[in-house]
Amino acid sequence: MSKVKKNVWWLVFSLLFLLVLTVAISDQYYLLVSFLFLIGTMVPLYSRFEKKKIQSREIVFLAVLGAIAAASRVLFFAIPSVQPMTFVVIVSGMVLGSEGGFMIGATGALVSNMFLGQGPWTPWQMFSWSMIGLIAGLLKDSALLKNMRSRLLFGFVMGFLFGWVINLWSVIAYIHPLSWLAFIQAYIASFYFDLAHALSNVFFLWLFSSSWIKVMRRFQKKYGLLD
Amino acid sequence: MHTVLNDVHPITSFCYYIGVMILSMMFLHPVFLIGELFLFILYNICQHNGAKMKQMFKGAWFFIGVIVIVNPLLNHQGTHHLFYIGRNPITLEAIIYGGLLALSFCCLMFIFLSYNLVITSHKFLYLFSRISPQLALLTMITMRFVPLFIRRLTTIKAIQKTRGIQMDSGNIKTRARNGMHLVQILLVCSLEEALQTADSMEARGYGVKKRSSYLRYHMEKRDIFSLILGAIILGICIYGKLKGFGDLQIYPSLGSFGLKGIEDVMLLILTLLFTGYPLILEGREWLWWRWQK
Repeated sequence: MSKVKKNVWWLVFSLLFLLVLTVAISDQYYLLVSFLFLIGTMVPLYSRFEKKKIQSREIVFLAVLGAIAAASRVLFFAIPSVQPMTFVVIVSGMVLGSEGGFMIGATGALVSNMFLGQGPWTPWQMFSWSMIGLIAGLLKDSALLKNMRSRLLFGFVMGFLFGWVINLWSVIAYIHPLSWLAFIQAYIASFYFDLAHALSNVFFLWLFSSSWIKVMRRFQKKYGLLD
Repeated sequence: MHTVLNDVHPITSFCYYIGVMILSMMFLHPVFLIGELFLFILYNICQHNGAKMKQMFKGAWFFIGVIVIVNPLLNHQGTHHLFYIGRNPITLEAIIYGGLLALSFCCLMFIFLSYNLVITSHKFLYLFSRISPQLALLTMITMRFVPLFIRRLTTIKAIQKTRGIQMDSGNIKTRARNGMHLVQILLVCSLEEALQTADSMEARGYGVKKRSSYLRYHMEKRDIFSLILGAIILGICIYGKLKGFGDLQIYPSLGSFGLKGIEDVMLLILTLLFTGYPLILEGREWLWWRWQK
């Protein structure tokens, strides 16, 4: 555990160092730096998964949940911003823990884009959804997610955070020079979509989170998976 | 449509797409960008992507408009003041800069449009299965499940309809609730079935030995040649960019639209050569066919 903590601190420190360094040298390479951030956050988690000896049952379990997330996003594609994918990722994170949540978020985003079309947004979506899964996994035993009201609040906040992270790449890449005003404008422009996403998260969590968690816990117990 | 780029080794075509993405974001110069855009449109037409291009524009024009409009509103540098909004000048430089960024965005969209046709998910997984086999397996299984689940969901829908649970009518709340109910049934039955499959995989000896794999793709002379040449061209372009060539001077005062010297012309030719790689392949094939006859 202490080694993991040390690694995490090391990672956070080096990312911050990178940020300070680039701002000190020049303020032109925000896009490049943000990409390095994505890589720096996701590659260690991916390689941790890769190194682990994993049973075929566990891989299949993750794949089913990832596919349900992806399929539900493809199914709800007609309604903009309303999709149960975030809900599935949060619930899986709550049952399987941070690593499972991360994998389901990242894989679900990648696979659903294989059907909906890849674009420059793919890495950002993978990052956002995997981080939602990771956070839900980290908080799974806390009172925040055990209590229904604060769980709904969590879903609401995550809906907005998701949209804000996705906005980042377009603002960084296509608005110059960067200013707070540009970010605020982008966030105002996407407010309606983010609100729809947040409210749909609340709706799905409110009606279905308890029963889904029950179903998944039962399978986890029956087959002894990813404890 | 099948083009020659679909037949080259996945590493070659993947590197091509990474390269053009870098080039289209690196040189913010109208001549460069319009040349690249022209080549991408030509290649997309070769791929019979015309309908998709139109559809893409329907979705993207709003974003393109935002890029062009927001930049001059936020940025007041430059010497050519066109008019004033309140106290803030709207400058020609900022408008042109916004236009260039919008052109670069269009290029990126066209690149991904043809990327989706060339780098199929099969090739993508082939590329990453050697770096990270476990992850590639997970992605592959997930991908195979999505169409299966959608098919299974139609069956579940038909059965549940006889019980009165359906998504076709009712207000949006009941419909969403019923929809998620169907997904929950899908979750239960798919998990049960998939875990049994996993057990049977294990029973047949999955993971006992290192797996062999069947590689469909072979590196040909053509691939090695194009990779080396492409790396050289990209290297020269990055070097030129770092030396300050290939940029339109915008701030503090707008420079001329033309190319500044022999270095810029060289960079333009190299960039277009790199971008036109699939078209060159196509042309070579076409000529070969004619000569043989």
